[in-house]
Amino acid sequence: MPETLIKRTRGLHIRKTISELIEYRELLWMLAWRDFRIKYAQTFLGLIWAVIEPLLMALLLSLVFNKVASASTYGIEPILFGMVGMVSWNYFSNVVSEGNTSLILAQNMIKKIYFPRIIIPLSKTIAALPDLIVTLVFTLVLILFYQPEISANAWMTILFLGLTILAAASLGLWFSALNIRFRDFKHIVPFLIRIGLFITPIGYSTISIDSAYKWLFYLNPMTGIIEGFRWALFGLEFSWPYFYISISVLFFLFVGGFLFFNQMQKNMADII
Amino acid sequence: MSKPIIEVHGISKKFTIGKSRSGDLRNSMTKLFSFSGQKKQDIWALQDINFQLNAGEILGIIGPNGSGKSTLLKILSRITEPTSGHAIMRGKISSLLEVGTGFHPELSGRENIFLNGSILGLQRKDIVANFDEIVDFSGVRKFIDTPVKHYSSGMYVRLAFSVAAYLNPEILLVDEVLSVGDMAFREKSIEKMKQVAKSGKTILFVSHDLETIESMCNKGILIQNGKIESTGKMKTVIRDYTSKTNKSHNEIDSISIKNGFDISAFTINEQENKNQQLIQSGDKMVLAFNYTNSGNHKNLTFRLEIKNRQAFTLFVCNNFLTGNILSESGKTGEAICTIDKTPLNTGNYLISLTVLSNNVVVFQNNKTCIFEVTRGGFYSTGFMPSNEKLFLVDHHWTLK
Repeated sequence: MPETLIKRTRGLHIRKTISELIEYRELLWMLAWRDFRIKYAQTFLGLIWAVIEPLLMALLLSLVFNKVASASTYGIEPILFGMVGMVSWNYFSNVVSEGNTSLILAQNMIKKIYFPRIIIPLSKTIAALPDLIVTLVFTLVLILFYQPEISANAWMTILFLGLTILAAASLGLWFSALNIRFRDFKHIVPFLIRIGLFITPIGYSTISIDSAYKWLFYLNPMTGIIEGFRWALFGLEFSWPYFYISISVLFFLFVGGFLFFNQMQKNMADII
Repeated sequence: MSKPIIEVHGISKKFTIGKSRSGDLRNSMTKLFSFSGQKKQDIWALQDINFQLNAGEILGIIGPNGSGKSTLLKILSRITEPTSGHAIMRGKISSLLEVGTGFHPELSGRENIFLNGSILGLQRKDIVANFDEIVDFSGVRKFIDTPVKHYSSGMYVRLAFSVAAYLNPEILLVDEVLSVGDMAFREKSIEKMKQVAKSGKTILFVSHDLETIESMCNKGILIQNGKIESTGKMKTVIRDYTSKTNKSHNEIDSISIKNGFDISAFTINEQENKNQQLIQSGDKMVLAFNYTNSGNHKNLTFRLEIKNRQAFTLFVCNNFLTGNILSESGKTGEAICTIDKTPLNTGNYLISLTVLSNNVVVFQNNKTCIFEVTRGGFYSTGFMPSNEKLFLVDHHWTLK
């Protein structure tokens, strides 16, 4: 017979959160499925929307950076170059902006029933996976069409996709928990995402950026991930030391986000 | 002896008010840099709650609004943490603080059953196994693939309750959810809950509906201002609660006229009635009062008016109506009125007494006593209509 002890939790109780997450995995999938269903309910084009938005953004960014600012795409067709960047960025920005408001929108549930709260922002990373797959398939179509030279390391794109998911989850945890106390983040996050679209090398590359302030770009974990993705796919120049900056930042964001969320979830129902 | 299913030891919960904890950045910034600070005030929503429940016991928690009943249920369902104290729950817990948690209007009835089921902690395979039963119980099979935004509110609630009805925990925590839906569905859901109760589950039940809670629970707790005020058998706890509220709100004995005539004692079924008396529906009710007729009034008429809570007169007992001529003898006497079969439904009632002599009022007491009617065997079947039906009437049916 399962025995539940109810008392004030002290300390980090990380193990408890993880074991509960495993126990409630079905709910995690159900919430993700719900979000996905609702996103395309009563739409005519359905999942095609998952391609239209990143494609238009990739077109726009390659127009701005390649044609107007004449940034080099190192022999890759600009639209393909931009689209490869958009695969990661589009997923990341979707999950972060959905995760940002996720707890507030689920506050009624939080007040009425118990489940590990971490499921709510995490479900957003799963709900956005079908979109990610659709954009990936579309990118593959572009690759087959333009026939660029593919690197032998192409399998490593999987690693960078995994890092994209981790980065999105980390920021989702941070912002959703911050929103509990400070609703300001409801306004701050969309703004940050818009800035991110330009400071992340989607339509351009950091290869030719002056090394004096190149490291600044890599403080943004998405910079390392997207550059890594293009390195794995096309064999473009990639500097690992800079990549380690991105990875370290990501590591701290993830661990910090998890701990912060854990701390905030104790009395979430009282303060939300 | 096996250990109790639920053990609650000294649970307390403190809320801090006057300090908004969710808000905006500017607020926190100003607080960070100012030393004055807002005055904080601690409110103890619950203080030192202790009780135990064994397997199969059904506990009813009653108390006025804001007394802390729901906070207690939230702590036991792990939605919020206690400030101090602890509780041990032995068994799988389900809590039902609301029906239809997580229902989404865009999703169909079928999809919402699965979604809501998993939010309530049901496994997918359990939902699949019970799916047909759930749909049949709700009675919305025809619309099961329609988005619930097109449902009427009644259909919505019925579907939501039906999912919850198929939870299969060892411990069930329920808050006020049986008061949903139309009358017929309400009866059905209360029946369902009683079935669950009979199957040996341990249930904690919070409600304002004293009638339902009395018929379902065998143990009770009365919480007032965050503290346990009374515990024991559900019936006794309810009586404690109603007598407390009546004492404060309904001062008995509001005599408006007293003219050479007085009542020294009033009894119902030979019991002194000071506070509240319980009578079972359908039982014999003997109302008796001792009087002193110091003014030597002749031709006395006694009139008892039975009123409901809203002071609406339901019926009157009058010896002039029945033709019982009471030939008074001397200065003192006892008048007795017998109602063979109490025709009232469950609820609280008030008696007002008026005495007339030659059509002149010599005594009037608008609140002679308060009594409560509980479920009883008015109909030999033991069934009762829901309690907004005021009267019970003897009748029978035949087919020709």
